[in-house]
Amino acid sequence: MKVIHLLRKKPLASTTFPYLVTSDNYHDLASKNVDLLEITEIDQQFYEMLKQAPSKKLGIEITVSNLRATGGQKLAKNVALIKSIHSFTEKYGNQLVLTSGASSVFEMVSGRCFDALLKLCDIKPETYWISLNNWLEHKINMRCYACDA
Amino acid sequence: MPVTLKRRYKRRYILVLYRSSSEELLSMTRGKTVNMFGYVFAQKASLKLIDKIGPDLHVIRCRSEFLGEVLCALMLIGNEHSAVVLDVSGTLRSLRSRAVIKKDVIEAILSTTSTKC
Repeated sequence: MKVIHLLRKKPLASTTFPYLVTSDNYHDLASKNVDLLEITEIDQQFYEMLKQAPSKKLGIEITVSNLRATGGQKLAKNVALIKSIHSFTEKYGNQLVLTSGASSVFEMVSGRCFDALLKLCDIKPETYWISLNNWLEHKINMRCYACDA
Repeated sequence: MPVTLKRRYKRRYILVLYRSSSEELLSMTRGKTVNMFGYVFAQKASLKLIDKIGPDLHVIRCRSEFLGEVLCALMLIGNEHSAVVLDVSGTLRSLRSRAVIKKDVIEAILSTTSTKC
């Protein structure tokens, strides 16, 4: 089974395992090293920065654990946000990444639930999974890896 | 005019992993459905508690037309306890037969995670 490691900093030397560099600060959009950006709060400045981001094919991560913490009006706003980010990322060559954000077995989210959430956000699950797969393959294959001794 | 039978609405059975009582799961799901989609929708979805398999596995039933929304509500419930949807089925018999296998796997996973903690 292939596991993709999520790292906070880009390793100095080449690794034997596939990885993605993550960040939760959207001011890191200017950095070319970041692959995946987790967002919780968003404003108009984010959209402007995303337009001008030097690295295309950037992943914008939204976690279900963050959605769980909200309710009512805020949750509705977040659902609208997912929809708007999806259309925005499609336009500027980036990728929306929905994750569970789970820290235990009891917080995990099944594929069927992700599909339901995507449908709620007016996103076709088939197109989302295909584009996510292509994005992951692109991110993993663009790097050089060290051989296992 | 052709005579048609009055058909009963289709149902879906959902197997949920939840670390609390079944009643709490049902009330939390209803509450979240009301919160997200409204009272009328929650009533139409006709959520019902069907079974409990082991200490953490629960079976709830809903109308098939509202399955997507109920799954969303289940996914987003709880701050202390969150629910994990393990399986969805059209018949209770097939769900139960699959649940027996899943129960063993889950117990094995939980025992390994609890020993790690």
